[in-house]
Amino acid sequence: MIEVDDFHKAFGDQVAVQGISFRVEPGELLAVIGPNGAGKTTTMRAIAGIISASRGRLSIAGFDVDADGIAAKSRLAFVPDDAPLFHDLTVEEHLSFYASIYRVNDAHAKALGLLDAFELTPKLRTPASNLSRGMRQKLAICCAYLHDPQAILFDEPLTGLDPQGIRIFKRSLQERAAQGAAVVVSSHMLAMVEDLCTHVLILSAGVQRFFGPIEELRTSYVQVDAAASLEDIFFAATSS
Amino acid sequence: MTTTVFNPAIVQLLMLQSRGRRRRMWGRFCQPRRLVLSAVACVMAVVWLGNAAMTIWFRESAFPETLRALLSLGMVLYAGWHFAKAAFFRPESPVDLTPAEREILVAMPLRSRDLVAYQLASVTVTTCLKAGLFTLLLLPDLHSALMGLAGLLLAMMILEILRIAIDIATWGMGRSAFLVYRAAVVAGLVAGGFVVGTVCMRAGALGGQINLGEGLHQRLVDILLQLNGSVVGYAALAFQPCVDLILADSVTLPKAGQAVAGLGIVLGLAAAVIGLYTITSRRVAQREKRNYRTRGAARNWLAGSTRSELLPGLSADGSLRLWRIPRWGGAAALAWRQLVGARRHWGSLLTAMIAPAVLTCVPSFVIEDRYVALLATTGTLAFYTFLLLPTALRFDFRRDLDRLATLKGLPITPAAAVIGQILAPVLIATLFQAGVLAFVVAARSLPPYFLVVAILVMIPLNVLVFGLDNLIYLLYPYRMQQEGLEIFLRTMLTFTGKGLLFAIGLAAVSAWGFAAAALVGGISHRTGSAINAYTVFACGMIAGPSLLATLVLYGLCRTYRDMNPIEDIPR
Repeated sequence: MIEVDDFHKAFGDQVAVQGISFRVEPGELLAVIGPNGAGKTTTMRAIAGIISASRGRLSIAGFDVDADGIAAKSRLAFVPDDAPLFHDLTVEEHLSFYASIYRVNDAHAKALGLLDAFELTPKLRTPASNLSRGMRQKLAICCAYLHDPQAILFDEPLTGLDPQGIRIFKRSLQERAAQGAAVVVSSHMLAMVEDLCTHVLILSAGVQRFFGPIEELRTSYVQVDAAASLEDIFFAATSS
Repeated sequence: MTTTVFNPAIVQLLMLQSRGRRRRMWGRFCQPRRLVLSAVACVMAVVWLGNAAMTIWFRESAFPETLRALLSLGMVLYAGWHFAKAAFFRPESPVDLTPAEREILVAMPLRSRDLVAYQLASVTVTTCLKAGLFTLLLLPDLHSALMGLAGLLLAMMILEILRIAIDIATWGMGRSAFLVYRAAVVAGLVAGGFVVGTVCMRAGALGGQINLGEGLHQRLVDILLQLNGSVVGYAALAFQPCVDLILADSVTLPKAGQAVAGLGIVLGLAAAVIGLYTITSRRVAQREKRNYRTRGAARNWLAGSTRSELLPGLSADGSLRLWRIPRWGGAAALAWRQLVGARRHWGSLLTAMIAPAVLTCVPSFVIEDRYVALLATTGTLAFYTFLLLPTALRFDFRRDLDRLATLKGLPITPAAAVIGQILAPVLIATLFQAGVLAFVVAARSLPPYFLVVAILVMIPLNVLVFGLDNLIYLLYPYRMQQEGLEIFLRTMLTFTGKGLLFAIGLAAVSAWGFAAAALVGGISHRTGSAINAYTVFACGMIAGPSLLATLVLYGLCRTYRDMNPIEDIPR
């Protein structure tokens, strides 16, 4: 569903990412983890078609992000860490806008369900600029889910969410994956990764350290013991 | 224990920011993608500076009385603008800080006077530069450049401090006080307009046809002198010491003393502004507490009512109302979104358009021939659209710098994104022009098809103008709240470039006028059939800008497509 093959990205002389390859199938939840500057956001933005790849092939549902960008983006939702919403638009106007852009047919029913699930109904006519950070994040998630994307990318999705919001979000991620979406989550919250994700991609200084099912992670790092947490493995993987 | 007047960290911050800006400017100037435009900008700067130097050194010096009237009235006008602006666009915060500065500085252990001092210091730096440039422009008129610089610097500082004081005062006003202030400003504007109108009528400025010879210039100068001699001149009394310094013959001890006294006044005003801020912010906090107490009492009184009755906005009644937006490849949705933004600012938009609407209508009342009058109004509208309107209508890429990544992530083609983004300002500009032109056509009893043709000419022109502005913006993106030397130079270069382009456009229109006449003459001579030269001219006036607009849109699409939201956007 999401396929990244030999992805490289350079900004001028600075190489941000080199030689990343992975694949996320429908129903799988991939966690992208790594220290700051590892290339997580760059990789996410490249998959979302926001920046182009210096080398390699990225595709969504079989559509090449570079060559067939519109088809690829139509099947994708990307929620960046600080969702830059449109300040002037209210909550319902945001949903109207996204429904039009992604050609959502039964937008009204879907929007009602999402607003209800993310507790945004009382804020229907509130401009995005008047929402708290957590509310903005919830709105960005609602906009992302509105067109039932086949591939979903989240960059630090828990930023600003309250405990209730985190619970709702986690449940929604599992539901989306169960419905057949390929989900990629970039996060520093290792507990959440361990809790939710089926696969892990570890990046460090733009290089891929590990990719595979979360169960294989422990066997790959022989220097950590069997009872080691994901945090221990993370440090082992990124310190080398 | 000793305390400094201002926190030294404020000065250090200004110096570091200045260094950072210089570093950023140089870095951006050297970006390969920008090199061509940077080179063009440099050439334009040389042209502008050369032109300014030529204008300075080869022009005749103004008569002292004329210069006195110009300076006095200019300062009154600028001060009046600050009063009027605050009456219609009430500042949201008392100190003009960027969001980042506000988040960081306000949270720091700085006193309120440090914050105002920070703003005053940044304003002083830019005012010194502006005063220097202004002195250069006035060199042939100044007997003593040094005294001129001192006078201009003091006058501009007084005006800047006045602006800051007005901003602080209007921010701190209660609702009723602000309405009184607004009413007073409107009354003042009406009274000022009445005085100016009376003086103009007495001078016979609006009577008869405009004579573009020596007579017009002299008549305008006479009106200015009369205005300065009228009650309007009293409003300029506060600036007279500065004007005296600007027009001083030489550096003498009394004049130097006057300058020192002026400096003392400026420092005193700065201290007064700091005091005003301290008092105002305290009063605002007290008012908030008082209002909260009053509302609390009301809440207690209504305690018997159910919560849902009191707070209907919080009830989850499911009254979701989604708009049915046509997609048109995504362009319509983007345009709709920009129009929603414009609707939120309709008041300020309307205010910003009243003055140009009146000004562009002036030729139609002054010029006797109604066809020439319509042509002149259309030309004035085109000039205004080309030079100033894009600044007022920023409902396009220019307000979406932080959302470029979001826009690029949408499943729409670059062409649809570009069209959708610039459609709103084009539409609003066209509506504005159609309104003005319809008024002129109706007032001068012209056939309606003139209106249709004029609008058909305006539409591609609007696309061209807004496309060009957005193209320049995407090539040289900057933050709208950004200030300082970079923006000053940028504005100067943009306006110079636009002025040059407008001049080239005018030359092209003239050339096309002659060419159309020759073409029609040739065809009529060969075929013997009569073709209307005006129709051919109008067709060319629509086709030419359309072709240029298409090229600009193509360039804009490519620039948007190649734009990298990580590297190309200033932080």
